[in-house]
Amino acid sequence: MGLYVLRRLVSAVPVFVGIATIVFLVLQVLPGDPVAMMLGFSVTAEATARLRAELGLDDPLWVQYVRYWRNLARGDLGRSMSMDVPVAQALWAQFPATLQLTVAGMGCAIVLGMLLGVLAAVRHHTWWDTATMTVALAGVSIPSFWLGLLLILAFAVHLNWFPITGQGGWERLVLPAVAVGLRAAGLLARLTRSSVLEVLRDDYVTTARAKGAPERRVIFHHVLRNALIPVVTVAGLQFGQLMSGAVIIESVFAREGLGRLIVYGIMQRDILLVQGAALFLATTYVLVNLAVDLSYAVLDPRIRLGAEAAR
Amino acid sequence: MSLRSLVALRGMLVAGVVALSLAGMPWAETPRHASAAPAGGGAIVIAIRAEPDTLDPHATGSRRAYAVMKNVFDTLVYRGPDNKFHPWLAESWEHSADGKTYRFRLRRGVRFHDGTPFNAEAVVFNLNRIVDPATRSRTARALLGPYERSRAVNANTVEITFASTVSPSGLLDSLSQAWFGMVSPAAARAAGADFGRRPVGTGPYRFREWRPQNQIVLERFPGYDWGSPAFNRKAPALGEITFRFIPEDATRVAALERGEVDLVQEVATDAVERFTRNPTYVVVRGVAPGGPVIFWLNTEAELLSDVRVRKAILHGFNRNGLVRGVYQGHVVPAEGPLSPSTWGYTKKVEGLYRYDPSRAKRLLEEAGWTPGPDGTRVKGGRPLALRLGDLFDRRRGEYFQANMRQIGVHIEFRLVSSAELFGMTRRAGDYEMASTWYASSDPHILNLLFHSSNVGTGFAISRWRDQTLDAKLAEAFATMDDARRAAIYEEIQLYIMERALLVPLYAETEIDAIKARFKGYRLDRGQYPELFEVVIQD
Repeated sequence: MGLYVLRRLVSAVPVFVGIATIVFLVLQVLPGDPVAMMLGFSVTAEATARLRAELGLDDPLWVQYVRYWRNLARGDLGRSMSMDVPVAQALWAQFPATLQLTVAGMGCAIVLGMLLGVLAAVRHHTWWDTATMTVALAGVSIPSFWLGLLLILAFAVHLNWFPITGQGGWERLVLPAVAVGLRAAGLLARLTRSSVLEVLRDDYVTTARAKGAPERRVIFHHVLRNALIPVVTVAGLQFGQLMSGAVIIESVFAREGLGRLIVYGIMQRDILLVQGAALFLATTYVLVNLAVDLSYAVLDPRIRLGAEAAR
Repeated sequence: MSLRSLVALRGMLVAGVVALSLAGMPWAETPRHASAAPAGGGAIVIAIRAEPDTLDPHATGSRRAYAVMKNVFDTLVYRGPDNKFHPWLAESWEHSADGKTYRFRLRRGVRFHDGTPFNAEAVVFNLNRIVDPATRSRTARALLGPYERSRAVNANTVEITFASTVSPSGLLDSLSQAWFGMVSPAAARAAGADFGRRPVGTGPYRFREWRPQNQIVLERFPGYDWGSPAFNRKAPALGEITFRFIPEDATRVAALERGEVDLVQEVATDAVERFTRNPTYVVVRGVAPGGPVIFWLNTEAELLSDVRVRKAILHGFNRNGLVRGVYQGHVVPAEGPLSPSTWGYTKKVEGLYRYDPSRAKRLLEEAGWTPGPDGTRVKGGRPLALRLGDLFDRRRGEYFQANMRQIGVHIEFRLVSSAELFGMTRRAGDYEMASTWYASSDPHILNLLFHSSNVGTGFAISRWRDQTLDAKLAEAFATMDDARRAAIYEEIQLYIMERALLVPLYAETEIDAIKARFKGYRLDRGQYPELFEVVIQD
């Protein structure tokens, strides 16, 4: 078990190095001169040269790359030009808002996905099945930002049930969470449905019914317990996807968060801010997937045993 | 959204809502009003599209920052809707005959939000701060032109000296803009680079809070009574102003409809009708002065070096079709290098290039461009294909592309980032056409956009190098008499259009929607929100 964890941790290192390098290089090859943009109307040759020197942009690429890693090692992502605070500080200030939305989206996805999936499986081949699977298909297919706008029009403007913008209070979280989570909910609903259908055909379910157990008990006690194992693992893997969805939805609902910070950084041509945010998000993604991988080993003995047997 | 599609939508989402739609919805009975009145005068919540970079007036060049800053900072003079200059922090002013020395007599009894007094020393500090390279001024420094020095003649008189002549209307226009807002020297020294995050001025509102990615809140400055005589009151009525950053067009509009905000800036043209028909709202619009939205023609690009080709492009473009078809008539067509609302604009540019595709085709034939097999004209085996880069808006470029196809000009249209646009327009070989828009309340903006010294900086994108034009621009800047100055700018506008250096599209139009219970709202000269005279009447 310990060895499995160690191997997974070590394998994450090259992924991180790759991400950091790509983030560094992408900003090098972007067209346009960021320095000239920062200076605006007052752009002159001297001012440009001074700022370039200040940012270290005149150094050879490899020097900049080495400096980039040295700073990273110290946890230093540089200083945001536009906000005039350390980039890491700006990111940490916005991270809780994005995390909150992602977790709420996840909750929405799990509750909704499982509910619809079980419903569809239990009422197999009825109009319930068709209807819930249609909703699931819509959830998977509708782009989240468009869904966000539809939710605003329907539930905020016309029905007047929820506020639209800003932070604070669970009522401000509902619509963005649905917009973030519906895609994953659709996916989980389809998965739950097929998984439950499969388990329903198993012998022990027939046995339980033959013993005269009430249908409710059969479903919740015998079927769901076994049917949900694959669902839970897929749900974990959806977390990263949900976070990238949250980044887009933040702008639609004018919420605080990393996504807004990135858009702001792009508008202000704040290179270090955008670079830091990209690195931060990618790293979070890697860490979440790593955590999911590791939790498998805990949840399902077959995985770690399989890994050790393969040696 | 129609009722039927809404019902269908409800049906679609009903399963998802079932868990959430608890009967009653206690929090939803009345929408939380944005303007729950605080002490005295009430509050206003304004939805703006983007967050300012900084609230340091001397450093920034952002229009969103301007809208906030003009409430926190006062300027020496105020330019009214009548285009005239009125006293504000300066009570009166005079200048030497050669236009190199200006004296401003300052109002007494004015203090900054931190309690320090506003006086001639403070003005000197402000002007020196603007020209200090460490300030990294994006706009104010350029507007201050040949500034040499300033000194406090006495506590309430300041003298500014320029190295060469500066016209009074040009200087006063600069000084009337929020980029020249007077900052507290004590606060600026203490805060250093952080000043833009906690600004201190003499304005009617003082800074309270800036929550990144969320909002900026200002509160009325108690004791403020030095509003410009151009206003109908000495102090503002509203007690609090909140600027919320809502990037999505549809969300901004929905937030107003639901009552989360009271005023929306930059209403998308397709949403204007909804507010115009509804008496609960008032739509306020204004045509921004300065340059219009422009498709530049790069005269140093081989394909556009022939003036006949450039003129053909101008004649082949159906400007009114664009304005009516794409923007539903909510913008004003522009036919010259200045927006029609700019002081010094000449109507003589109108009708110079009427939409006339057959004339356009004739001009191209004369220039030796003949139709090729796919409809695109060719000359010496080379197709007439022009690269056009534009920011933000895809629709105008695609409309233009369709127009040009009819006269046999192929447009390779691309949406680019501002950094990319700025980069490519600095090198002659990287583009044929590009789009920019710069607002300004003085025609001196033409210097930035056409003077040969600005070729290659990303501003003078038509790359026209011409000593006659340069001389005229310099002369206009230094002409003391306003009528004579306007006459020179008229010559310049016609000179530019005769040489077909650009395709003017339309003047950018600010469209705001505000709840009707807020009375007295207008846009100022630069089309920024003017909140000083706003009162709430239920």
